[in-house]
Amino acid sequence: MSIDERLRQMPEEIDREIAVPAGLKQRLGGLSRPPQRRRLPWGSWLTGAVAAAAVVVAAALTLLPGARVNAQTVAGKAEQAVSDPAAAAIAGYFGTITSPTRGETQVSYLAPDKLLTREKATGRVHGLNGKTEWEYDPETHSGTLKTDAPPTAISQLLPGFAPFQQFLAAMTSHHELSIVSSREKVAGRRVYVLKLSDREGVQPDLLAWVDQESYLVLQTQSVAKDGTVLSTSGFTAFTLGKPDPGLFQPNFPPGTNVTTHQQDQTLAALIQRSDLPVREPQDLPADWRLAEPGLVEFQGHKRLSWFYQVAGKTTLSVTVTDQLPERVEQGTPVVRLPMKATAYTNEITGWSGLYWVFGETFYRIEGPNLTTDQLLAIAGALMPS
Amino acid sequence: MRFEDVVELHSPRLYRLAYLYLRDAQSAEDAVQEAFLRYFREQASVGNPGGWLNRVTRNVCLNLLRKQKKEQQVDPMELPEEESEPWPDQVAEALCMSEMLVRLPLAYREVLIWRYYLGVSDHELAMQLDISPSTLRTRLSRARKAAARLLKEEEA
Repeated sequence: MSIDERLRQMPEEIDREIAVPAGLKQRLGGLSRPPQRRRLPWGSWLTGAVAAAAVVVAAALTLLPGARVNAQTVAGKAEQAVSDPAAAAIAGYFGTITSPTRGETQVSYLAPDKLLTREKATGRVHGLNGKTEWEYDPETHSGTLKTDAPPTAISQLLPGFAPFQQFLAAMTSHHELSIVSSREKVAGRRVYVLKLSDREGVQPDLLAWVDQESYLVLQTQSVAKDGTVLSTSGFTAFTLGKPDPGLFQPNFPPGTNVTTHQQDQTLAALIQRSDLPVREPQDLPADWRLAEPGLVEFQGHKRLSWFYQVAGKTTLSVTVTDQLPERVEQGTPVVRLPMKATAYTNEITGWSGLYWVFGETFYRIEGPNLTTDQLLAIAGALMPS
Repeated sequence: MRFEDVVELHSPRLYRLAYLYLRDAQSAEDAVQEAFLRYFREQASVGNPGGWLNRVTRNVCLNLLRKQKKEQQVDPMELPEEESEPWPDQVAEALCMSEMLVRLPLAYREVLIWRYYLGVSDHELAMQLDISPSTLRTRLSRARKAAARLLKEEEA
């Protein structure tokens, strides 16, 4: 058997060889049982889930002696503070959070849309400022800069959000929500401690420490039924206040290899921006849907690419770049275009393709079940008149 | 598609994907959980959950690897190219694919997983890895050669 034949068997072999742990879905437990959606007046799905839990479990409304604090109200405000801090009237904060997956991370947030995180162990930086998203990795001395694209949601990058989301997602009629303390402190700040317990006594208890002033979640913890702490994420230092706005600008050390991405513009706009000699082909089959046009600028070069798909399956991929490859596949020369083109078959995918060079630009089109005549017609349609 | 259907459909594949990256069952579970947590948050804006979850799982795994320092990302172009060694024509059929994969350097392992296990096209894979198509082809070729040698060695 050749290596290609063997590798093509990979899906079946891997599925057979790597057993999925029986407990995986149980571990995803709360996630696979999403909360019921009943909206409270302020309209969050989360608050609906909180309400559903409250309806079924009267005990969810735990009132502390003297404090008279409502667990579902705290959970609702915490969700709002974490997912949209600006809407929750939080002007900014900064501090350090420690989590099992990312270690110590310095975090700075400035309302409404600026966030900067820096992982202590790796030095990796991730920033958003409402217009631009950037990352820097000192290990590879490389950076990425994404402009004109929808930035990653701040809530996704907020430390503590994911564990708290798990907390919320787990909240069903099978759980009991309560406040177990309002006197503890995290990072020097007074907090409410929310606890979510599985009534069937199967899943771990989840705890969240919620800042009494801002309602930001400052710490989360998962605790097994025998009391073993399974994981803890939380701020070890936290200051409520505005960080320096100057932090939130892309700033790469000299010599960083920065790659710029633009992916949420139309193909026509990207073609114009790239200034590459190509046009959007017309007269393609009506059911071919253009997908994922993207322009990458790197090391002084540009690479424009896009796909066509039918029912989610790629029918054609197009790449145009001013970086001429050092080597390309051997193939059958075809000279029916104004420039010399070469047809080939991709030995791995079995797809057929065509590549050619025009001036200082390299073109490649490739797809399944395309004849050379079809490829030549598409190639002709790509070239500027 | 309902969230629990997405979990049902994609979690086995994502676990295996994470395991092949991390080579550790517990870490793989952690990675899959984090990927689904992110999906849970972003699901309203995700058009293709399968592809999105593949990408997020990869990112989570690479972050874990960086953090754990278990494995340095090696530029495969800097790996020694043993041109003098012939590429085995035939490989054993009974040897374990996953064991072969986890012995490969990450850069080689990754392209084989995405090409053959996930069935991703050249174009999509080059974009996913943020490398040029020609670099990808070179990397795939070397990865297949390394895989063939490993399988041959095992057989011997």
